[in-house]
Amino acid sequence: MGYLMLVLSPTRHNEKSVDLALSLVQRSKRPLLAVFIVDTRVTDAISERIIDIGFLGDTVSEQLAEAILKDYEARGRRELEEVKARAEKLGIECELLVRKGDFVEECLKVAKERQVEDMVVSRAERSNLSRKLLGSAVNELLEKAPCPVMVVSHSKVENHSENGGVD
Amino acid sequence: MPKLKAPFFVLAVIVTILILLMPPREGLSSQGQAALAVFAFCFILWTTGALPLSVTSLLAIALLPLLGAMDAGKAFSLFGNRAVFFILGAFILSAGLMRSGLSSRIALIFLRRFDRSPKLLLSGIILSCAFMAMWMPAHAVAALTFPIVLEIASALRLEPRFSNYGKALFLSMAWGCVTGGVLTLLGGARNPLAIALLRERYHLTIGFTQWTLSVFPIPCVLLVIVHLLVFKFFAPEIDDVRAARDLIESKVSELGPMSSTEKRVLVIMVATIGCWVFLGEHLGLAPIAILGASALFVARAIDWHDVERYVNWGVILLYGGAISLAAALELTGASRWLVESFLKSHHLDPFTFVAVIGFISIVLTEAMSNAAVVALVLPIAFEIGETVPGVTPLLMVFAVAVPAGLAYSLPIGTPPNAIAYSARYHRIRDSVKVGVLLNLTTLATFLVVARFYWTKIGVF
Repeated sequence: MGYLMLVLSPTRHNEKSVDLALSLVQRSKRPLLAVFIVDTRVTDAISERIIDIGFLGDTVSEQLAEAILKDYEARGRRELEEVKARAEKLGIECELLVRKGDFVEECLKVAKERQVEDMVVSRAERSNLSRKLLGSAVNELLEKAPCPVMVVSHSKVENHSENGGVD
Repeated sequence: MPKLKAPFFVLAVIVTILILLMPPREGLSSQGQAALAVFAFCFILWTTGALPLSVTSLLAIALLPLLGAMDAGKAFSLFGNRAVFFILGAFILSAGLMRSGLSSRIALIFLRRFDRSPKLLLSGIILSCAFMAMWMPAHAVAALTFPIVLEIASALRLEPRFSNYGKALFLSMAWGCVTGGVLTLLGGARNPLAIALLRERYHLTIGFTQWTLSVFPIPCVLLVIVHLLVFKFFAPEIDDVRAARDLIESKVSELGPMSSTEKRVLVIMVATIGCWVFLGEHLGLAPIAILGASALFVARAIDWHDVERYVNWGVILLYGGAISLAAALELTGASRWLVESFLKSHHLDPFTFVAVIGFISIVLTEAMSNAAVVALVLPIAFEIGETVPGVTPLLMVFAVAVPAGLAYSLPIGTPPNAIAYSARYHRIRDSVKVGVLLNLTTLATFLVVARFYWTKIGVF
């Protein structure tokens, strides 16, 4: 059976999503692929502000981005190890992966490479209007994902069983 | 063009066209109407960030003559204002500080003196950031301090999003930078911009020392308030910072003895600041800044490639365009018409003037660039101030430029806040909760200083 992919990132971590992923794989006896995306969208946004508003050069923003990404990566490895420890306690086969890049692109690449069957991702509570106006990486992922995606927020779980569809 | 921004650009174009097509108004010339249209265009784009700030400024310089608001020669000549060259020199000096590693050394040496307890370490971060933001742009201070703070948080094994001490570390860094940046003309280019607008309109100036002496009670009080609020709202959950102390010690050891380049930069920096303080009124701030920047090249402390890597030249475009726009508003009578149309029935006293203008600047600076706030609000404040007996041009400058630099609440307000937020140790609601209190305290401090200090030293 194919993987269930749990997606974590520096800005998208919710214990509920880990709980859900673990309970799903335990029930369906599938392997878990826990992926931490070191999201460069965050550092790109910071670089833009430093250059456009702070008027500092590329070197400053590059050094800053490097420091942030290094910290995110270390943080990601710690979070994944915690997921693995929990999975092992439950007797679940678990593989860990850290990827650096654009959140949506990396999710899609991993899903394709590992022939993922389902994805679990978390996101912060925001209004639909805010997501439409300011953009939402998770919405973008829902549009492009080749498999069903479960989106976990603090108050609910949305099961997007088809691309773009919401149950 | 990124998502969301295109609609704002379209909105800016539509509003500009509507103002241009507006029927003639009494007291507003056609040139004034054109200047107002460019003002609205810049206001929307600067507020929403639909285009980079510098590109909007460049468009302003082009649109002013194209729409008939100002003669092309005049619009482009304002671009060569001496404030622009002061800012240029200050940025090159700052590049020298960063390139040589002197700024990181100062930050670490400062922090080493404060690494004995969690609260002391927070004080060290607040004070070192504030101190350095007096001599180089606050954004640059945040950028160079951030990796150190990040490593401290990691060494202390603080939990992102949950650790109070983690939140306190990053917010202390941001708020130290923001607070220190208002004290001199070097902390933020908005201050020289405000002086440039003052000179264009009233042929008056404010010297390096005069600025610092006039403003110093505000950051002094705010630094105390920042300490109190950080300690109260983010009470440290740890009582041992030995891991941070070891980290700082090892970083200082790694630096080794001060290099000859660092020494040369230090001498040039101290000499330049000395000249601004003692000779600024005679020689002018801009020539000294350019001489100081040139001295870095002569001393082989930096080369042009370094400058290009550390400075974004858009800074010149932003300030050049802002000065041209402000001049157009005044020369065409557009700002006077605007104030007379909307405020003719309101009679302000000087104190209310300071409160209202300060409040507007504080609110706007939470949502847009500090420099853009000065560029947009100061020309209008000049007009309003002229209708209020007892308000001096200097007061108008301080009423806008100082609060415009004090964005505490939102990451979008100023790069130090955005940099701190990128660590994701605190949530926006953490910075807003305490930041709003800081905003209110800022306004209160500002009014007390205006009432009891500025009246004594002749600003009022």
